Amino acid sequence: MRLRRIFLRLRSLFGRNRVERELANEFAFHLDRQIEENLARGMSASEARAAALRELGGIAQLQEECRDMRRVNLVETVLADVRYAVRGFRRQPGFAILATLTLALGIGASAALFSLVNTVLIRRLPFADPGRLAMIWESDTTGRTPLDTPAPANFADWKARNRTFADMAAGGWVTFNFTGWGEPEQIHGQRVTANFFSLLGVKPAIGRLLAPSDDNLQSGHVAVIGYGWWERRFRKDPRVVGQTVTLNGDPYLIVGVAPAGFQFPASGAQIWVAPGFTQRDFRQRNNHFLFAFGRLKKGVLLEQARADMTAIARRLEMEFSQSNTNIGAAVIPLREYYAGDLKLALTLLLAAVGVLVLIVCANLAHLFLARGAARRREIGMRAALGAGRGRLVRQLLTECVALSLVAAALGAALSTGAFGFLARLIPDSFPAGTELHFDATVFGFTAAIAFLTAVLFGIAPAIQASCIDLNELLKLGSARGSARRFGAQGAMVVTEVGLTVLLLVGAGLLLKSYIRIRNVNIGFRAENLLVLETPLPPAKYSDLARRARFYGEVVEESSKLPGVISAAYVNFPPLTFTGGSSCFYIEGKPRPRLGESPCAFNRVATADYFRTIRVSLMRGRMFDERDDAESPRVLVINQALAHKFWPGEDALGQGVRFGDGGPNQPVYTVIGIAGDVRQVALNATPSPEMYFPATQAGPGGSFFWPHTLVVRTAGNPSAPVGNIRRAIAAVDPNLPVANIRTMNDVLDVQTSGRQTQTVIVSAFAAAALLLASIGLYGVLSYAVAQRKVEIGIRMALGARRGEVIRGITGQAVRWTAFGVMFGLAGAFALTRWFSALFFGVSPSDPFTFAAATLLSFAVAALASFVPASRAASIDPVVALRQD
Amino acid sequence: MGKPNDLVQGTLDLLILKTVSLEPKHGWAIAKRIQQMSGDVLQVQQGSLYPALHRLEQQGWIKAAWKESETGRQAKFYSLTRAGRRQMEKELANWTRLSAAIDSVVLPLEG
Repeated sequence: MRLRRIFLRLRSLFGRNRVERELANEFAFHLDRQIEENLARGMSASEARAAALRELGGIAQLQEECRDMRRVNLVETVLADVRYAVRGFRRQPGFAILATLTLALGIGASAALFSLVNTVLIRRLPFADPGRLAMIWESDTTGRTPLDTPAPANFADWKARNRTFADMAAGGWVTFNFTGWGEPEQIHGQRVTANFFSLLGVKPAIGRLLAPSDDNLQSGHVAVIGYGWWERRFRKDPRVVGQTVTLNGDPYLIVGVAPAGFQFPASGAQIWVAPGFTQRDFRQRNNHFLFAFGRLKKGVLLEQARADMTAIARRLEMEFSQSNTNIGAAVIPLREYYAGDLKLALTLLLAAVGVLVLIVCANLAHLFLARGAARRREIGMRAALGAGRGRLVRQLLTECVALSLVAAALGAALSTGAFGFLARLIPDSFPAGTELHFDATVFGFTAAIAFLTAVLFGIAPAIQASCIDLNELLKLGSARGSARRFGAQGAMVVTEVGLTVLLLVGAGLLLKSYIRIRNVNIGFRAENLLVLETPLPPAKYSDLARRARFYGEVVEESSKLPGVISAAYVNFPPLTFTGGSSCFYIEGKPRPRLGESPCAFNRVATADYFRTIRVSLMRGRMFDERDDAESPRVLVINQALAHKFWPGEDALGQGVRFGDGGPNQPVYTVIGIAGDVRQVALNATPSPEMYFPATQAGPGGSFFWPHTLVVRTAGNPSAPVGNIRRAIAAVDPNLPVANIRTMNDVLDVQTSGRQTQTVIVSAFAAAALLLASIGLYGVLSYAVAQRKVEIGIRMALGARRGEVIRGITGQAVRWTAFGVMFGLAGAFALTRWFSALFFGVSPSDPFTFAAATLLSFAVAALASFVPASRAASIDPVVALRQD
Repeated sequence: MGKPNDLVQGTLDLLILKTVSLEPKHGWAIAKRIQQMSGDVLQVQQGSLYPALHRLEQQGWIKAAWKESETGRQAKFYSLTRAGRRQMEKELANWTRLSAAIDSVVLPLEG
């Protein structure tokens, strides 16, 4: 039966001629039979026919009703409307092209941004049941410091005591020196618990991933290698599985290859090794260096897990007050871990694109209103021929939808062009790849936006065009319309200007922030500075003297190279890696309470470090060759540290102890105070920092050994790279050189997200400005054309050119003023929500607000100039003769 | 959509289904038959019949075929389908229930 119905409908649609013929025949038959009967009753031929027609009713309407019953009418009328729309657009190609391009801009921009949102917030993460995965960090219960990496013992207790997680896994970052296979190479890897892969639910590319038995050393050291490294280093040779390789001098059995693109919880690891930790490791509570994550039990809510972990952390605080005072536990769902920082930026960008789409809609509404006015007679004709109002609105809306769909196709194609640029906003750590895709979700969104915009910009013109008073229309001989319409048009111009001001202010604040952050005083000179890493294998370089000799030789050889001014070794140069802190006790001051002893970044460097990166020494001296293993321990501190811990006192000559601060610990004397350097991020104020000479044993282990060579060059910082590599190889041929970059690259990486946001919003603002000026120009031109006669009469009565121009520009200025007012008020209310995205500029920065205002008025003046001068050049004689 | 005067749509459907249930009929014959049967009580405008016929056909309750009529001319004959018969019985039952209910309210109780 269903089939039959579809068959009937299809027949009505495609066998249209036959169906129409049958419909006509059916009614003709009825009519003829009735006429015959009427004749038989003795009526005359004409009487019989008239009576039969009367009895049947209006045949045309009845036939239309029958067609409606077959319900194909809808499809047919839509097709007819589309054909009609295409014909109409063909007659006005300029209009169609302008409208399509404007719309494609709006729809394309929203599709591009939505695909970013889709990738970061909607698309499934490439793990099994990712919604139940969460990162677990140590938190500071006083809220002073951000989340921290957990200590192994804390992780072990969390895992053993919790009731809300099905399982927990952990890992730590390691750097391996890979030798015995051609060139030595430095690779980053992770030592992990054996459930690392199974908890995430990933499958190997070849071989196997880690198994529970890998957690103990009985099966020896095993390793899973990354797909990228397998491809690059082993040319995807499957025989590598089962091979034994040498990492930091120890043998590791390769058991498998991780799937392509796998990375967790951040990028960079090329190898995963087990057993990652010994039972002794899991008793450490003072070294915080793990990353930990867990899988929630089925049906457990995030809040329950958080409560569970908080309770455990509180118990640990009591049990281990020495180490755990003020240490809590934070559970962060995986999606939030990846997208957390991006959410606000995405919100801003989505809001900006929404504003842009609204402006596009307003502009198209202008275009269609003007077109509707020009088509009044055509539409009036259709109305006179019996088209109902609903039918007219439907037809006009069909035009809009057809246009919108074409624009959506074009916009979608354009949007993929911006994917590469937008993808810069995706963090490297993102596990599903850092590329954007035009998938089904984005397609659906684009289609929805196309329909929505069509209705938004089409409904007002459609309704207005369909409100046609036939009498009035027929009375009017010419296309001269009434001036009533300008109310709506003016409101639309005001809206456009207001929204544009909103975007201008947003773009201005972002731009100013970007300029501010690029010009922030970083405390050192970034240009002509080269940075590269040579990780020292701990086994070979455990001896301090050996390390000191290595640093000395490399620095000396490098400094002699052409184009090199100076060189130095350091553990963590600014803005590359946070590094780690050491906590200390100040001589002659009361011991602080547990968990409150002061801590500062621990930097270890050679004597030329400050000279090389150009940090200014404020007081005292930098360490030099006098400070060796035998001489008294010394350190240089930064101003932030001096101000924080010796406020109003002289920090020079003060002593500090590390470790437990007891009398067995050596005293380190402050010999110099250096200027502050932005170490963590460009937008983070400098924290307390300590510098120790590489020639003395400082507090902290091999993690803090200098392994980064910084080189000040005279010219292009990349030029001496080859020579430097050779100089290092001459000192230690087994040492890999990695991570070669210039300090300017480092700064670019720091600001690239901000730069991308600024470029996007600025582009939107520029487009908005252009659209708003086109809108204003269009409305004014139209107004001038409509009021030609009126202006002609005025001029005939003695109005001067200047007065006419003032009349037109005055209108433009009034609209712009209203728009700017609304825009500024809106910006004032909205920008504060995004203050976290700005830097060094208040969300209500008066300079930015004033600049947006000025720019809007300037563009409005420009847009009104042509229509105004056209009005002024109206010849009264011609204008009045026109009808 | 014009509705037949003083006649709920369902009732017209029932009349049509009942009329074509005995033998295939063309539109004019259906109109005549309904007029004859109901006399002057039901004012069914002839024209309103056709949209209803097309709707019933679309719903699959009646089917149409072009056949030679009593005058020798080709006409569109409607006949009841099996689904149409079920529908008719259902509507008939409904109608009986409805009219009985109305009777019990509006007719005075006797005895």
